Amino acid sequence: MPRVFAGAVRDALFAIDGVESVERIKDAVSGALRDADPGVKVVRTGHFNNSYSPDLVLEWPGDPAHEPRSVFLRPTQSPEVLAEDVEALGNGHTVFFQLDEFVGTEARDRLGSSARDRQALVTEVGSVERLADARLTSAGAGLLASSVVRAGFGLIPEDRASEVSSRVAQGFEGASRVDAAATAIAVDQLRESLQPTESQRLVSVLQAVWLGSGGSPADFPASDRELSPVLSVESLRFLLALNAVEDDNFWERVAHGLTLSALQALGSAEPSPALQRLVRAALPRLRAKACFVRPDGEERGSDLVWLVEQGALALAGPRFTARVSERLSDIARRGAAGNGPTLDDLVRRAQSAGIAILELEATNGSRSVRYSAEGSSDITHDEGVTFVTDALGGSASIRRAGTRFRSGQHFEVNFEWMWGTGRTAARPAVGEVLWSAVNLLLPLNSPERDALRAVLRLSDQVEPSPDLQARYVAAEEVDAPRTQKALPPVD
Amino acid sequence: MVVRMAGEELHELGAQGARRAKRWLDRTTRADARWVTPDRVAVPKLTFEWADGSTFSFDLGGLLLGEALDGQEFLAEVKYYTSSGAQGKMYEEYLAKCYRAYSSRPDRCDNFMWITWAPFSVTSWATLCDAETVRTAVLQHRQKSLGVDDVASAEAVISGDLVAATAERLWLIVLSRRQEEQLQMSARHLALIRQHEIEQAS
Repeated sequence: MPRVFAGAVRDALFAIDGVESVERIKDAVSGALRDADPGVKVVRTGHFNNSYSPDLVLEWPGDPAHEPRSVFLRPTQSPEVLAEDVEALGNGHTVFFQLDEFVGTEARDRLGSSARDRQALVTEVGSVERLADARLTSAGAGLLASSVVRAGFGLIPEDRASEVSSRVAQGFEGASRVDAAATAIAVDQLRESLQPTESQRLVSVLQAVWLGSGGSPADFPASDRELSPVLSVESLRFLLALNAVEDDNFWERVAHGLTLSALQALGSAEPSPALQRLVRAALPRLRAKACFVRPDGEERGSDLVWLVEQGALALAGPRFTARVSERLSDIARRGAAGNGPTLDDLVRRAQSAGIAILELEATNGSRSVRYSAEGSSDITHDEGVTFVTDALGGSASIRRAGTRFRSGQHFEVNFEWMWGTGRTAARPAVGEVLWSAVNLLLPLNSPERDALRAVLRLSDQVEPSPDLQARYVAAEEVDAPRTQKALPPVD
Repeated sequence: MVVRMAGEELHELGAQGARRAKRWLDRTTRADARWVTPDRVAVPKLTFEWADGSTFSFDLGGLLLGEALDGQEFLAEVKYYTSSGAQGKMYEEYLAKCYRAYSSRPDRCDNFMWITWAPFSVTSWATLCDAETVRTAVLQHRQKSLGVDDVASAEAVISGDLVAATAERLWLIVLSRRQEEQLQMSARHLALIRQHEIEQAS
């Protein structure tokens, strides 16, 4: 396969105009890097081949914890000169690109060991291209490509890149057949090419495939210290792409400790079979506080499906999409204020779904009445509740209603804006939130309610355990102070 | 006494000199010495044509940085010598090269530098960058720089403006080993500048 970016570099080297030469070289190198790692942002400096300042700086906006990596472009044909550079400037946050063929072989060993000692990556544009191309035939090798850009080290010349890729590809294939020898080859290669944290991440993905294919943890060819407690968003995406894995036990293992934020960090995810299995497995442990229900015209088939849209987990059905999140401002959109249900409608919806209403607010446009129970009893059975609408005249509608979950948390539903939100600091289970919000905000019929009950696994609620370790957390989750945002207008 | 060295050793010494000069220039923070002999990428940027079609090259080239110099290009000849050697004659030929380069591609010839480790032509040192010295050199090398054989035709063809412009662009830089190896910005301070530039770029 012709090396597009490598060829572009070679052509650009011999341009007569210096400024043009540099721009074209940087274009080609940037293109190859972005191909290998779509999450990388490549920033140019005003230098080229400078003794101390890099030519490019690599950043990862989706992973602010990952430190920038300096890229040095080197047109020298002498491995010894490049080795001197690596010894002077190299460290774990550097990448050196050899732009032209080497002449002479004496210093190559020195170059390799200098690169390894300093955890610096010394490579060629053609190597990066070959690693990126491997994604076409092996998802596992594709993961390797971006990992090398992020945290690769050592010497990876173009004539070795395919070999590196294929070892990793064979390992992923071997893991799916529970073949320890083939898997071990990949583990070794990952250890040899990636800095420890990144190596651990990929070895963990390899292990997830191994376990999902029926392998036992004891037989997996890597020690515990080579496994990472953190599964990156990339790895989660990779696992979701494994639609062929139907084993619910596999998804139980991946879902163990999966939090809502990890799903949100995906940004968007199609309602694939894998995502359904993953969310279903994780559901009893997922917590949220807010729900926004959008009556939809979208044709989506008759089933209820999970998906991730605009950074929020959502349940979508034939007539609605319901999003959940930790905060209402993340998901709610102000449309035109609608009219709520009549009192009769509300009572019918609540009683059909077994939801206790503790308080409500009714309005006729110019006057409103609030009616609530002292304590926690259900007011929908009160004979006197009808006085609320009598007082307001015939055209009264319910603006808000409050309920309480089994776990004791209060939850308020707003019919004007079609959202529901918890009123305490504790976060209720996603299943409970959706059950209450969807049933109260929409007039579901009996089959729809049954389908909702099945999808939400309401009989499988797990009480939140205080010492539950979040094993799989999005690498992007950063504890940054958050401020209240004003609700955005409807798109 | 002139020490004769084998061709390959001369090349290697030449390459070493170019690398040293590059390092020194980069570390002043006022230059990006991008094109370094013998890198293949450097050749097209450093090579020019004489009037008779043959070519000549400079040893080093790149951009100058900061303030009034920012964005200007430079071309340099590097003489990593321990003694004056034949620099006098070579310098004269270099001046003819500069005139020729400036005449043919003025856009690439903002600055010409002679970088040496050994002073030479001491008695005429003060005038080495004068227009008159350039003019003499061009006339001396008239076949290549002007494409004419006799002095009279050369004097008719040579441009006073181009001579003056060339002279204005001349730099004469003398380095010593101790100076360029040790009396330059420390690695620690350069690391600070590098970090600053990385942050500025982002």
